Amino acid sequence: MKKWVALFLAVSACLSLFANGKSDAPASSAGGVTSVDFYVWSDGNDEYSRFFDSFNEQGLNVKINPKYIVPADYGSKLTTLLAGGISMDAYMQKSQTDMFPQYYNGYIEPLNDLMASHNYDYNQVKSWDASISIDGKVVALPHRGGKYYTYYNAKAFEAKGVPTPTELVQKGEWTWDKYVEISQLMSDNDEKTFGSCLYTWGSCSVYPAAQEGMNFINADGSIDVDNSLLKSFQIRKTLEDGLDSPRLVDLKVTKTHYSQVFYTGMAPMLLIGEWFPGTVQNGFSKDLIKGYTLEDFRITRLPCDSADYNSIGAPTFGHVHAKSKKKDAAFEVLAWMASPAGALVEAKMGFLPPMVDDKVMEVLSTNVPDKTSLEYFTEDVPVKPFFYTKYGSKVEQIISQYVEKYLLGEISDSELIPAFKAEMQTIVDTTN
Amino acid sequence: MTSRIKISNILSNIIILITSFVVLVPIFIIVTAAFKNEVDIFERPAALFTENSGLFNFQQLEMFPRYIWNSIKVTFFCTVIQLGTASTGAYAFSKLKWKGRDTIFLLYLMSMMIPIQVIIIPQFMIIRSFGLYDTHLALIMVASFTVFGTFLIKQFFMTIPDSLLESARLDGAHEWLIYWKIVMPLAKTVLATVLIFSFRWFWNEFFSALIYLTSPELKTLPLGMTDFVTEYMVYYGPQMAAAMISIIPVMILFISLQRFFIQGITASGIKG
Repeated sequence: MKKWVALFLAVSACLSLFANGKSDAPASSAGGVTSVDFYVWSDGNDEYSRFFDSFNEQGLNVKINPKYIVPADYGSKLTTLLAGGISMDAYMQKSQTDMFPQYYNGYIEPLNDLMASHNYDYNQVKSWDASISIDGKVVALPHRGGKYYTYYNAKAFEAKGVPTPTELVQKGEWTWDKYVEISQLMSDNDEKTFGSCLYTWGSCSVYPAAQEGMNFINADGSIDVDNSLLKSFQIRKTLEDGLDSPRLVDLKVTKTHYSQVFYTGMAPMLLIGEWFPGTVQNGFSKDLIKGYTLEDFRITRLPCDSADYNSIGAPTFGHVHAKSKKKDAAFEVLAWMASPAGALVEAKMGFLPPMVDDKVMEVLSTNVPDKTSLEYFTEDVPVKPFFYTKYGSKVEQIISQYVEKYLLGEISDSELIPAFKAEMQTIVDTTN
Repeated sequence: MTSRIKISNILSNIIILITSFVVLVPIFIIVTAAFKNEVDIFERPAALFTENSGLFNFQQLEMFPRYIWNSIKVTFFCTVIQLGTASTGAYAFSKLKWKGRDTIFLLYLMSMMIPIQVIIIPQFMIIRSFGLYDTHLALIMVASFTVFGTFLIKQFFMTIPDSLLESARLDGAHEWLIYWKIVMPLAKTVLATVLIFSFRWFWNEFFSALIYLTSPELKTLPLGMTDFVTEYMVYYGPQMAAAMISIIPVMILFISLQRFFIQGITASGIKG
């Protein structure tokens, strides 16, 4: 009897090894509906799954077949899938500057012809042209805008009697020095409640430099690094040394997401991108936010040292895969996402769409109830993208390495700029 | 006992204590965190249990019986196939004389130095061309050979006297018979060692599973643990509960085979 059971288990296990090997199947359509394999970072129960569901619920003749990849490992898996020639129709770009090497390696389909054949009105998203074009070709369509803001919990500021960032913006005093000062005032200096949070991404350590237009490496390969890099690192170090901001290394080791820092009241102020109101909505819906309500959630400009304010950032977008056999269908999905209809869905989830009209404003007001915050959230200001060249991805890696070295005291103020410039030159010399 | 020996013993014990502490603290954290909520996990000083402790993290593991079965299946086939390929390879490299044998073995050994990240893309292209993307068979195929295991078993086979094999050959036994009836029974200890190494490796293997699997129902245990890593939150409690479960099979295997394991390590001359 035991032998038969063992044999049965062995045979069933052997047979099941061959199961589910259909993901790389060629283009197919059933009942006139074309299925588009769309890769995205998602756990299958978040804003992207809802976004895809909204598209599929329309009952069009194109359906999204979502391919969810664990957010933390999206980059490495996507790179392998693209290089390995997997059958894919479209994918979302998590790290915007990665679009340059992906385009030059032939993974991204230019959209100009598709836009023309589908009569897509590019004027809707033309303001983002610099962020979605390479060498005059449109290579992506955005479904979210791209701007960084100061987010804060007004209740915490009220409790401490500290002037809010919005008040300081209105007085024209919301500079980077003031940001440090306010963070210090808001901190309990007990390593539990900090004044503000700068996240772990390399880009988050160079906000002032990026805002001043420092490009690190220009598109022509010339190096563009100046003392604003040092100033950016000094801001972070001052805050960390004074226990006014969570340590970068602690956030990394404990994998603490910036949203957790804000949700839990660990820091009442956060400098991050335009998607954060959507994140907060998600936090409220999942009961992750304690001690304050949506009414206390405020948005205003980033700190800025210049009289002419500008924000930083790039939109979030998707691409049509160059080897897709269903490019038209994949484009239809992207075009919907970058249309007023897609914008409304994004706005309902609390995200800033790439285009803002009255309907979008009306929907956004439910997620951003404070009127002043909504005005700042949707105001039309110049936006500078971070290190937006083919060198960008490598630049961000070097920033991450150097900010850690600097915070750990392994590199001095006087050594930083020359060493960093040398690294930039190495990138230029080793990038095709 | 001289004072010199006493000091040496005290020092040894201190080193053992420190090493045990370093090894056991993470296990302590895993076990206690598995019963705590997300807030209590990071409370310092760490308590064994808190007033909120419970089984709630384990209740979130509803998909894990499937992941465990997937892991058992993949690990079983990988381990068995590796034992077969490693032992036959080791036999060919140690007991058969053929031109270029040592050079090929050297090249084979050198392949151990190539990181998986370097070979993953060509390997992926092969798997994709076989139509095996998103199947367990993909994981098994890429794991069919073990350089380290072959090296380990070869070292052991070299200790078996050639005269034993010569006698069998004179009696008319062919190589498969000698391999199966004479050499393999003598190699139980080293085979148990390779089995444990392979089992432990595949039980914890994450990267290949991440690359080759997409369907949720095919996830293995390490990949399944990413269910609790969302874009915005890492849920450590259920991850620790899953980690605790994942340790159990490896421990059972190690404890049941540790006699062979220690003999195998000694016999093959591998230290550490």
